[in-house]
Amino acid sequence: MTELNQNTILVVDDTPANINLLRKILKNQYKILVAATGKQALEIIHTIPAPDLILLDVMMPGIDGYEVCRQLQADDSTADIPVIFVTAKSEIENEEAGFKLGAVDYITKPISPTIVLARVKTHMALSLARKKLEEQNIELLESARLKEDVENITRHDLKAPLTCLIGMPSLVLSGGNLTSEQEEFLTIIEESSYRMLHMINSSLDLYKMEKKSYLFNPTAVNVYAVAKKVIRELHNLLDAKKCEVLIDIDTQPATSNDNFIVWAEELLTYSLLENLLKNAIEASPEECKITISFTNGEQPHVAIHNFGAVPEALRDKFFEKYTTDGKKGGTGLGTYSAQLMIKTQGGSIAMQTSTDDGTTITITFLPISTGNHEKIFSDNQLDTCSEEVIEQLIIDHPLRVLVVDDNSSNRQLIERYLEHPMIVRDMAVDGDSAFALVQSNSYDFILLDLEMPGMDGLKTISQIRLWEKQNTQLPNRVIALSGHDDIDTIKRCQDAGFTDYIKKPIDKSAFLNLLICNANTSASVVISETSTGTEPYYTVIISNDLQDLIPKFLIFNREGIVKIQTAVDADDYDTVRSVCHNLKGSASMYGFSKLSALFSTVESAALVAQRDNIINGIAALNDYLNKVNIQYQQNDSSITSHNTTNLTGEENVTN
Amino acid sequence: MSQIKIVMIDDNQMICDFIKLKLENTGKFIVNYSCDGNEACRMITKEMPDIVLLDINMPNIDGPDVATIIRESPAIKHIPILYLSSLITRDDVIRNQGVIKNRNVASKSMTIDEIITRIMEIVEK
Repeated sequence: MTELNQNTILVVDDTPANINLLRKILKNQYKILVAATGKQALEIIHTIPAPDLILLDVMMPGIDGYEVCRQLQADDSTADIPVIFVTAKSEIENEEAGFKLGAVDYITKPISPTIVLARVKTHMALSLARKKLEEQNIELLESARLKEDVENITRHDLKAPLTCLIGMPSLVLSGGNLTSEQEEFLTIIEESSYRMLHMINSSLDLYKMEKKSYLFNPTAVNVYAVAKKVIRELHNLLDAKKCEVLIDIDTQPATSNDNFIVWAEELLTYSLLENLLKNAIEASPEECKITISFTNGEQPHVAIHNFGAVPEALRDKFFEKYTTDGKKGGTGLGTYSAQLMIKTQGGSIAMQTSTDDGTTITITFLPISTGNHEKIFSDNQLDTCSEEVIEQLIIDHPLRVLVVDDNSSNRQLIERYLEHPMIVRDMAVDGDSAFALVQSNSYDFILLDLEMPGMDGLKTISQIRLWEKQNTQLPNRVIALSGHDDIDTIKRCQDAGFTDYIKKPIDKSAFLNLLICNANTSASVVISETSTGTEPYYTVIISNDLQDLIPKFLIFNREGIVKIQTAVDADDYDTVRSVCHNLKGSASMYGFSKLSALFSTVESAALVAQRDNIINGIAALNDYLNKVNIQYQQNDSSITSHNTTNLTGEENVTN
Repeated sequence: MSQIKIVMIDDNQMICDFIKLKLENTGKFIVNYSCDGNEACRMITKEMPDIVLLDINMPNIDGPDVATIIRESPAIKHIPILYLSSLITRDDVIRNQGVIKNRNVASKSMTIDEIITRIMEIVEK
């Protein structure tokens, strides 16, 4: 056996004869270290590479075996070394004590060579196996972390630069003055970036759909137009097979002006059709026709037919993961992902196959319901008339917009999207400068990137919202920009007070559409919170029967605020949070909705340990309690019957 | 019908005061409350109420813990429990017809009349 993989055993005994005996038994197979006292043993263990196993005499003068064992266990770096006690028969009643201290086994004196070898071998093997498992476990954890990191890279880091790759070519193209070759190159760049985005999105989206965390964000989609795009994309494949695609709508052959509109997501629908049509072409016999039939109705559906039959063995698990007939380069994920994509969109998929009639895949979509109508904006319409769209935004006054993003090309892109003589565009590169601008200007829209170094989007919005409250300003319309669009992120944005949300890469028409929606909808909110005059104070109308409780209630809140202050001073954010949560609940029950909102703000700030925001919040709370004006409503029933959202009371801001 | 006896358990004293006042003003209820889960069981044993109103999220011993103790005490285990929480929204209650995971629930965002309706449904059962 070579030196390299020879395992080391430390023999600890105060009797030289015992040491010699053990050494003799073990020296052929192991490297032996010896110590005559407990103290020496500990020194050896801590100064040279630790032994793989220790044979430890219990009864020794000075530090005895138990104490050595205890000290080894107490130290993380030595706790894993297996210890076998070597003990006289008379000490056997102390076995339990030894096991409790972490010994793995006992050998009794007089020593039997066979037993010593067998026990040592067993424990050595066990210990090595455990070490190996630990190593593998660490490796597994690392690779899981790596996978997560890679996912994050694709998710965010790749998408951000792609925004420019996608957005810039069309801006250059619209500028004109290009040779036809240059135009062609730009178009190729644009198409390739779209394809890349599509690849990133679809891999991430499938993962999300599997985890059921995909956020379905439907619009009206013309599936017929999408199908035509897919067919164009697949023409090489069709030519190679000498196949042709026929399209009919409600049993009539389709004409170029036809529509087939459903409630879906265009990109998902594109991937879905691409998937299914590719399969159909591959499965079809040569020189055959493939038919796509669209049928309108309560359940609009699309049937894709080809003359190939699905092999008998695959039929039952056609839509399952990793089902493939051994096609070269096939992943077995095509039909599975198609199934995920249509189910995520609220539809269904079915397959019929027979040797005589070939195969039909039918996908059923959600219909356009009347409730969805106002949201319908065809992307194409917006694209061709973005001038008019912008006009809609600036009906009666010039628009002022603040764009906050640390990435210069993203800023530039949005700036170009909003190019118009009536739009003033301010730029900020970080949260701090954005906050400063917000305090000194009045904006119609603030577009705020979530992921920025230093003060990020979430922190910035909390500061803005807090500042608005303290200074009784109108709430700004603040729209979050982010590469993430999972439910968690969107929820966090809503909780933090963002008005709306748009995902990167930012599509021009979707972006303008979002601005228009928000320009119209938030107007009423703004008006209701408007306060005029200089020094506003809050009037809360409370039902008369609560009159006796209110003084106690106010004291209760003041005491609560003192508790919050004490907790912040002690950096105890958990207490801040729970006290705020409590006070928020009672404030809302008593009808003090503004007070409740203030507690809610401080609660959110405590969640992310934003000390400054908590302190500002406490000031706002004290200010509120000092200024609040309580009026009692004599007719109790008239108040409660008019209010369904909380138990009593109404609140108005007056001056 | 005689007055309905209620024991309410909520760590927020102002909420207890509020509910007590609103319920007793109807003349149909007598409400005792405790802001401490530990003390709650003693009060329930002493008062023998017709129903227990129980907050879910409390420090030290929370609502579900109190419920377990009630259910394991022979003398009081028959007393119905109505969870009254802000964690549950009014919509949740309506959508689930007042029962979530086999538990009677009401929301602090419901009107007092709606809460009384929930109490009566349970007591009269």
